Amino acid sequence: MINPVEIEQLIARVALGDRAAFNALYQATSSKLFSVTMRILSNRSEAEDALQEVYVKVWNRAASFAPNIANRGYSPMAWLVSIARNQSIDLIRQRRGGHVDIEEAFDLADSSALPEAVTIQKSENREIARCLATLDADRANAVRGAYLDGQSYEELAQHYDVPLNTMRTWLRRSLMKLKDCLEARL
Amino acid sequence: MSDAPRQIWDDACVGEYALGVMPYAERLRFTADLKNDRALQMRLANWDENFAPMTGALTDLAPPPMLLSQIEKRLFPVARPVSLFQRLGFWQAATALGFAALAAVVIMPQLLPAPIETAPLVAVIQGETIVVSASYNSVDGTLNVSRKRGTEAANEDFELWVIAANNAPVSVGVLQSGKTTIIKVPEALKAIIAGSTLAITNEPDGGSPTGQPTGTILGTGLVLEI
Repeated sequence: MINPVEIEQLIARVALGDRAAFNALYQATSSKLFSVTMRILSNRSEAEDALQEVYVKVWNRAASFAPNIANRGYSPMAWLVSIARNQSIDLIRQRRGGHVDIEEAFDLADSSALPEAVTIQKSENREIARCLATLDADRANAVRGAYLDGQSYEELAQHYDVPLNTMRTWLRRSLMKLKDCLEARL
Repeated sequence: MSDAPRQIWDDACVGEYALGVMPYAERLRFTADLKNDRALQMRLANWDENFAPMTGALTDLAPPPMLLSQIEKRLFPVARPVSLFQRLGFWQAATALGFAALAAVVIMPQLLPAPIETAPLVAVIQGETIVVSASYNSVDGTLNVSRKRGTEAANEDFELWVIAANNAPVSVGVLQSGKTTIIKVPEALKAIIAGSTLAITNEPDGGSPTGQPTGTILGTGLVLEI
């Protein structure tokens, strides 16, 4: 497994137009980023297209980013993940125009049932896991569903069977609690 | 109230954006605001950084093998011989400043009684703060580097790098503080300079201590035959 320093060095070389470094960066990180786009888009060809866009962006943005990763508050992997997630989220929101039909919402809700949550708790091993554990189980799972599955407020409201506004109030409160908890570690 | 009120993004909003749940129209506004707001970028980075470990729950999934070559084909289309006019057309679309710099190097070699067998190589290395033109004379193996814009800090040097396809950057040397620097290109680099990319970074006085770039990439430019 490649370490963050090596990824950072690869990104710095990509910033200089080094194609071999780009190739190596892709080899080291594409499986991770593909799991991200695939999970959110739940469609292989869309997830592949999204991954293409992600690496085109990585190539184009590396120059503005690489010299000061630390100044921007990102670790290299979190930077890559954020590009992959934003690409997927933009696509899925555009596709649905903010509207989801009910059947689709139910399909997605089913796919993020309980066994998943068990896996998650096993592998989350940082502050976020500790802080999610301070939330009610439902609310923590809503945060995970939004982050990992790219669920919208409409989908979450369906899943938890609450009005949309209630869902938003819930989630915004959860975010503030998370923020307090995350900052408390300092 | 003369200015249109600008939306205040509270921490929960930034979290909603990071999470991806922010309604689409709002999301577009947020994305637009992000562009010029460094503080907002930092607040978002903070959420992204905190959330990223959640992806530990996902099982890595190898993309299909041909995907990388598709991406590379998009990013690095095979260089085809194109006419000077086509190139100029392309460059004209670039910034006026860049074009002016290009014109200077395009015209200059034509005024010189250069040998005809070898096509001159030129590059315009551009970034936000620098414009530097370079022309390579394959007969005497020198690179004539001319600074159009950009000044290094007192304890820094601008270092010039050659990046050939699939290779790590190789230093060609540091620029002198004046307008023009003539660099004798090392033998090993002569063969790879055509079609390569030139880049300039700022480095400690005397150049990078590691042999690899350590500073900020100030600009890049492709080496083309004219």
